[in-house]
Amino acid sequence: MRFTIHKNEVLNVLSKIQGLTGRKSSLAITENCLIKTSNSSIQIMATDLETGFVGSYPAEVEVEGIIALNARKFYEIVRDFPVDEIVINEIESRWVEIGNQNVQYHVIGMNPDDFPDNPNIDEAIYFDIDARAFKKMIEKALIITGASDDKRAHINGIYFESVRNEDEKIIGMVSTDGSRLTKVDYRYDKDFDLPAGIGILIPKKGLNEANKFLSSEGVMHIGLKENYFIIKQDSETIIIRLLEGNFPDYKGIIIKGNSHAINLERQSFLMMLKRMSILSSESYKGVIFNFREQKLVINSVNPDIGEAKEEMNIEYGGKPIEVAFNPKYFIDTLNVIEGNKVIVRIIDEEKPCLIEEENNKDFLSVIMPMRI
Amino acid sequence: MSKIKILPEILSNKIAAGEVVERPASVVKELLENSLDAGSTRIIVEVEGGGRSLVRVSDNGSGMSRDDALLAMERYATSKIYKDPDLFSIRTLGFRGEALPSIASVSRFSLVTRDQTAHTGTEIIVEGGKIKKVSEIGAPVGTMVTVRRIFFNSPARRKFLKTAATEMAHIADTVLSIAIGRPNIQFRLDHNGKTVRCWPASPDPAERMIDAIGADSRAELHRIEWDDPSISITGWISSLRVTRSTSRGIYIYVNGRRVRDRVIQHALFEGYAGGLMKGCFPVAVLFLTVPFDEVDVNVHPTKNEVRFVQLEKIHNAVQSAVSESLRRADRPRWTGTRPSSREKPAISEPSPRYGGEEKNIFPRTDDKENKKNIRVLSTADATQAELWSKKRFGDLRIIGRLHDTYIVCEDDEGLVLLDQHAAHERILFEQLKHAAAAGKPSSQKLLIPETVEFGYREADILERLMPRLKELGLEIEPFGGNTFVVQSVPVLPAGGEIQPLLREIVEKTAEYGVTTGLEKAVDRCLILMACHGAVRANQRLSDEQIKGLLDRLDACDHPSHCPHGRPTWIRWTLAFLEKSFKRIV
Repeated sequence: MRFTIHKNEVLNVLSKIQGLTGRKSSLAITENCLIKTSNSSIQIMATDLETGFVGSYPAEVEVEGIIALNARKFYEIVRDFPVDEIVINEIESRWVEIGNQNVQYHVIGMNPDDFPDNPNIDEAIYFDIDARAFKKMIEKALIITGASDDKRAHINGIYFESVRNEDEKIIGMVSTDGSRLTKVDYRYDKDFDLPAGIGILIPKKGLNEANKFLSSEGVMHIGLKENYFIIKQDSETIIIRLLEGNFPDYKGIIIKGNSHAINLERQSFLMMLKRMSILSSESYKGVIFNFREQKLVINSVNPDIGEAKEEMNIEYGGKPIEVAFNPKYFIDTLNVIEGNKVIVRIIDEEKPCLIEEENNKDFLSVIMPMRI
Repeated sequence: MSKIKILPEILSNKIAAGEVVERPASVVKELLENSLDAGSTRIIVEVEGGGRSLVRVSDNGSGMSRDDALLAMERYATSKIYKDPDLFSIRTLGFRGEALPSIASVSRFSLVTRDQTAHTGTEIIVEGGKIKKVSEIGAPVGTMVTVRRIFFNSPARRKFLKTAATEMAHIADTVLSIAIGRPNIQFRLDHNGKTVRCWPASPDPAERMIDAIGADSRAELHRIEWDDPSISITGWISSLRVTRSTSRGIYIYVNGRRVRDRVIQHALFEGYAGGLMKGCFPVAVLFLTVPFDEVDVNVHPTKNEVRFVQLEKIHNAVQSAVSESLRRADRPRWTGTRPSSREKPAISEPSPRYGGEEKNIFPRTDDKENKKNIRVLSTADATQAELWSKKRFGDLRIIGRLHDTYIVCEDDEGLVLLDQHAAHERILFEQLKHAAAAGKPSSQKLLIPETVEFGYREADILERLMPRLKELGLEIEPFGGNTFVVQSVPVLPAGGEIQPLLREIVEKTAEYGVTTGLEKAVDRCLILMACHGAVRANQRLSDEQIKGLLDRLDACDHPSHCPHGRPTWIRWTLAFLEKSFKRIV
């Protein structure tokens, strides 16, 4: 095979696939990217066996063919290449020449036949969604990730569902790590829909990789086929293998009844929590929230370092509540809320605390108290 | 005719012998225990043909009258317990009253005994359980039991006997392990007319121990002493430098009785606090003294198992005693001249006489809190302690750095290299651990409580553990049947699944009665934090930083090993260097 590519057209994608090919795997071929020519373009493929990527990029193809190159090395060669035009030429079987008259690399490729096949997604049903909205959903859901060695599917995966009520159609993402939960909804009123009631678990790792490729402009097509979740945008496709497992019934956890709704300024609440979490450490993560008459007092105590206290005037008329929380959980949530008004719903020192954005039904965070 | 019959006595004795008399060594054990219970001060064991032809145990104990001697040949006849409550506070080694008739039923047996009041002794000859002859005989006070041709009437058993050498090794082991427990009694072991071992009475079992655990451990033994109302522990344990690949170097005595006890062994290992590499076993001799009514010996006819009433207390005491001892001992010995222990008279010297090792066992002068439980050995305390306080990491002369990874120091007797990462890791780990121990562990409530299912036995254990686990921040509630719900988890250890940890805790508890599973998981987490926080290899330290590191290392409980078990320092003595340069040969 022989073709010419332009650095500015492939450099970006080669950098992004490193997250897939850089992962340690027992299968050496997955450290490679597969390059396949077709007419006046090349296809670049990469996979970590859970998440696969396929993209098409313009190239001047002289001889058709297919090669598998080490993705890291190929990326570095392209990145530091002095000129925009790069000629790639398979001199003989798997012996690949990259360069021009001045710069020349000879790289040994691997057998392209060994590269794992992408699942067949020909007949998948796609649903169009606003790219910006979908990217936001992913980012909001991904604020919660589990420990790296956790094997539970409902912690490793994001629960993706499609709900159809009488008056609205929603797709939602729910994410949890066992101690807190986040729910992001997207409401739409188009004619075509995803089949209602589906609930799938998409691995957070894969979604995080996918998010790197996605641009927030235009429209995305999301689809499902068998146990794959597919995201298509322009000439790029990402295929994520779903996790097997059940997601717990989260709706029972979201209790709004007889809670005290407290309206807070997002920015000042966020800064207050940031100040109070300065003294927390690996062993002392919690701070104590004191809800009193018209007042919120936060105490932070770390026997190793010291203590801190901050007061804030709030509208609160219930009985005093003293409850401990990990402030990082609040900070994560407040960071992704866009508006400046938030509602914190608290019941008592045992039950979960809810955080919502004012006038926005589409985002909700649930945080469990600590005991300290 | 009825199908069920009471067995004739001869047969029931043989059945008992099946449990008690497994090989000649068991005969030796039973007879020695009788001799000891009779208050002997000198015991001679004679063996021929590995015990197949002859085992003879003679002592100078209290002996028996003619009537008593005859009665002793009956099953369930004993002088050691009289009434029901005695069984629950056994002070003697024996108590079952089966040893003599059992042995007599499988051998050609003779008993010669005289008590102090009688003028002549009594001789009883028994063959295969039948009394053949009872006569008067001249004899010294005490008892002599001769067992010839063991298993002559049970050929099957006889076939299972190994070679004379192997059986003799078993006998020597038996005598030795009993001798260690009773250093004040003289023991002699003869084989085929030659004396194999002779241990004169001595106030401490040092020489006997060395025979048991090997001469290489001599220099690396640390004394342990522990006293509280429910248990006192004395003994010696090896440092981490001397380990074996099996647990055979571990001798545990409970009230003078050698036992095999997994719980105590486990406590011993725990006391080493992770310093033991996998597959390595320490060498140890532990004497536990427990109130007689708090230990049940009536577990197995061979009596080498016991049960404790306060299992957890015993476990904790052993673990603390071991770790305290190691903590005191874990000081580098920059002073090298070490008088050989052989040069000192074996008898006059009190126990901790492993030459220079005395230095190890002195606590640092600022060590107030551990004097609470530990009796400090008093020989030449003052001068040694003073000498000691000068010899610390902080007093090493710093020469420089090697590849920005090792700290090179010298002392009066040689060269000391420290691994800067390992040393710093140890310092950080102990800091974190103290901090974690000082505060109350906080816990995170779970949004989605996790259900865990156990078997019946595990469920029962977990139910009993729940209050303790709650204190540590792991809140569990029963959920009907054998299912439990985890409501909240401790902040440390962070992340991950709680279920495997919970299973580990319960399984360990099922096995050893106590568990440190959760603490260990916290430790693993702290080790990781310490490892990340510590200076790396190839990171250049200034002289001040090195000085600070050495000073802080002195404040550590176990400065010689990093929390993973790697050594923090190694040392070449001048003598070794000179030898390497062939200055001395």
